[in-house]
Amino acid sequence: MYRFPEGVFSDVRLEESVTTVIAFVMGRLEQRRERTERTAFIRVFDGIRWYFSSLTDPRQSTVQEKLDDLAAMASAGRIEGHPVLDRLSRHRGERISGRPEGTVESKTAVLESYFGELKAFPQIASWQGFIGDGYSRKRIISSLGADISFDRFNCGIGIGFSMAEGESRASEQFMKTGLVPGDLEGRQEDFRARLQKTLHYLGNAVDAVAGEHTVVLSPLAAGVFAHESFGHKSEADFMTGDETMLREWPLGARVGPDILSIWDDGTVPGTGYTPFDDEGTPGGRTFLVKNGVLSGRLHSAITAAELREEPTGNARAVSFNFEPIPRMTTTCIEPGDISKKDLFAGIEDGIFVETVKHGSGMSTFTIAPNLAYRIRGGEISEPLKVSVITGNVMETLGEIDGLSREWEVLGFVGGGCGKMEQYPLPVGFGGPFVRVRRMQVN
Amino acid sequence: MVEHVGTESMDDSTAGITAGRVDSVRNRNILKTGLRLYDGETVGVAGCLGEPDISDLRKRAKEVLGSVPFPWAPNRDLVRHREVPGGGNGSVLPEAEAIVSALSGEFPDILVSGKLTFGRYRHSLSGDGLDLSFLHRGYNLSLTFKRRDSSAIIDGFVGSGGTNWDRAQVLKEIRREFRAFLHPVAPPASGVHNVVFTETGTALSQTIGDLNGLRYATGSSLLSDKRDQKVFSSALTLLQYADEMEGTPFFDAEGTITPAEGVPLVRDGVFIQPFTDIRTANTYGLPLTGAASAQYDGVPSLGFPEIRVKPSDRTLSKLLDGKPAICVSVTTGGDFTPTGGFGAPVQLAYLLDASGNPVGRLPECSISSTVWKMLGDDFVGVSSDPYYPSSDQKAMVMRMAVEF
Repeated sequence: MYRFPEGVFSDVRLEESVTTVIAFVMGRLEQRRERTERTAFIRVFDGIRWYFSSLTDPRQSTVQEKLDDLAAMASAGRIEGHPVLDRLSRHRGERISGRPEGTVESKTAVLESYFGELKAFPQIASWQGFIGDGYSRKRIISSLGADISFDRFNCGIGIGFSMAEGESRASEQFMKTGLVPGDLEGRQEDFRARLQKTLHYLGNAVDAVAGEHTVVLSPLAAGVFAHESFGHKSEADFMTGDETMLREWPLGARVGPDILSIWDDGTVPGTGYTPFDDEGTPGGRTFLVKNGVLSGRLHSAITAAELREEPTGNARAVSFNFEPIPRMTTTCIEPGDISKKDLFAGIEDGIFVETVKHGSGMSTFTIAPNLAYRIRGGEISEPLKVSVITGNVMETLGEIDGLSREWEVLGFVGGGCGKMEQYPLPVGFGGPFVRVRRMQVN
Repeated sequence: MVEHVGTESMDDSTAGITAGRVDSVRNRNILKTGLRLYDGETVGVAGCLGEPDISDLRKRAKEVLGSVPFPWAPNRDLVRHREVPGGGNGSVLPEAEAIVSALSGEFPDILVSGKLTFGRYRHSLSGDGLDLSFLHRGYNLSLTFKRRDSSAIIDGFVGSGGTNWDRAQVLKEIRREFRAFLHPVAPPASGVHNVVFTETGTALSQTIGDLNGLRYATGSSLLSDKRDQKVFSSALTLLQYADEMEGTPFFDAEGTITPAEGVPLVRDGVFIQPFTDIRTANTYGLPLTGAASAQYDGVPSLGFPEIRVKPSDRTLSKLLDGKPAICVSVTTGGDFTPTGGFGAPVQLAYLLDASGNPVGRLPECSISSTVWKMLGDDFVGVSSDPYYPSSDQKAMVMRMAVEF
């Protein structure tokens, strides 16, 4: 298909994406967009340096011209024996499911079917509704013989609302992601429950007492915690060229209690589904922590070669504008073996974080709760206003002492993970209800 | 029928730096075009990547007319072209090599990673008497850094952005930062201190959200019903602003022009107006400030414009009034409660002497306040002199509770 230049490695990622966005603000249609883009991203490696180009014209002749241009910038003949060559994909094949049927009109109708619920809540000051889906089909062809085609589809619905009463304010979101458009239908009861919870929060939330508390994280909060606190630390590009990180994070080191296992898996259906990564490496399950022991990292072929490990199918690019780098796919804490009821039962006085606005993670992680509650005598009690919970990642992992059997895999609608210039990348996350003996609450 | 054609073109080169080595170069030449048709009641939009076929875009935009209401007059009969002088910063690769070489030579204990981009960016919006264009040639340096013996994935960030790349000045600023970073100092006692922010996003995020015209008009903003009231410190003036040197066009996605001096949203502590686009301004009877944003193929809607605090006439040294201060360099994950309470962990902070010079790295700490205090009685001001001269970034000082 292409004349790959001699003496260098090169690959071409062809992308075709179709996205739909329908957005209402206060009941008024403000956005109704169906977009089709055909693009390409080219890489050339000469053994020393990578050369990239992103194109909005993916015709064969244009791609060939750019391939030749990039090769002219590189120095041929230095690539032979480079360890990255052994780790770059040579897979061939096709995994195509196709784009599910659905018109803009039918999607609009699904979104509008939720709006009636809002009428019962005069406290709602403003609201916005969104339904969207994204289909992408990629083909990766390389000078090593790889030729893979695969696709993915996700859809989601999100309704954000702000309630106001006197000086009190509360904002929340109802979100539902799906694998086919039909997954987004018929969730009105869940939406109503979220509205009622927020109304209760609006009228009853009191300031949390700052300090250390026993905290239970919901599957949503636990998933964000796993992503922010440990997932990013497991992305191997943070370790390349960094002897200290490799020394401090040796595989086999204990990082948490026996009950704790965290994995990333590109084959899990949902927003993080990545059957092949953007280098053509197949996705799979990588245990980052297994029974409390550091067990793996998330790699591209480049970082795997640097660290003398194997690629894991985590080289992802947020769009045709960018090169693939190690990113998460679906990252979860594995469920435990006690019931949610028993998990709460052991807590005389604590805090339950049900929903979150955002999280972040360096050596210190943070989670900004939205709906949070006091736990009294093992029961969920009055709602609390909490600006942020925070802690040292490693110390907090060590403080986990309970995981429920009940668990969920979730995804954000319309957002995703950010890493430096690449945002938002769709990812999945989740876990069980997680009990942490001590966390700093502000 | 009114027709607007908008374009965004981006031609840039980026050098990638990994652990102190320039290991990649990326070139992008991207053109995005959107065509909007306004029929007096609705708007229809179509867009494409690459060289546009305008007649095809027009045909597609017509096909989707009739669904998205827009019963207001779009901007027309405005002509202005602006090319930001300067830029043309040369070849990115040797500059990235020079930065990395200088830093690794002078600071062998620090590893840097990140990107240096040189680019040319053009925005235009034209049709029915509207003819606006903005050309900016600029640069952006964004580096993470960490001590070689640190077990953290990142210890901090340094960067610079603007029009004219000045390697010597950028290196001077990074050296100042790295010297302070490598010199741990004992923290002052926990309590209320002068806190210095060199970027305003964290401290102003709640207020910027409350200045959103939709939130204001629907009663979900903390500023709802407070228009023309004095709600903040007299030292605080917030402007909707288009920083051309940073590459922000002087017009928004609907072609509303932001004047060079900015649009006051809060003046001397008095809440003047929220920011709006055409739809919000007309729906709720508010002044139009030009805060529309749009994807290249999307209907413009109310976005988040650039908002800056008007600098005072006092230098940072004068603002600190003979007292040392805590400069927040990295804070991620902080937030506000629904009623304006603020808390944030600070992952990297420096101790500043009374002249505003960093003297050393402080241990991790947390800061807290409320939106009413930090922009009210505890707001000190924004310096007249830049803390980072290469990108003309000034320092904002407010008193806050700091806990070490």
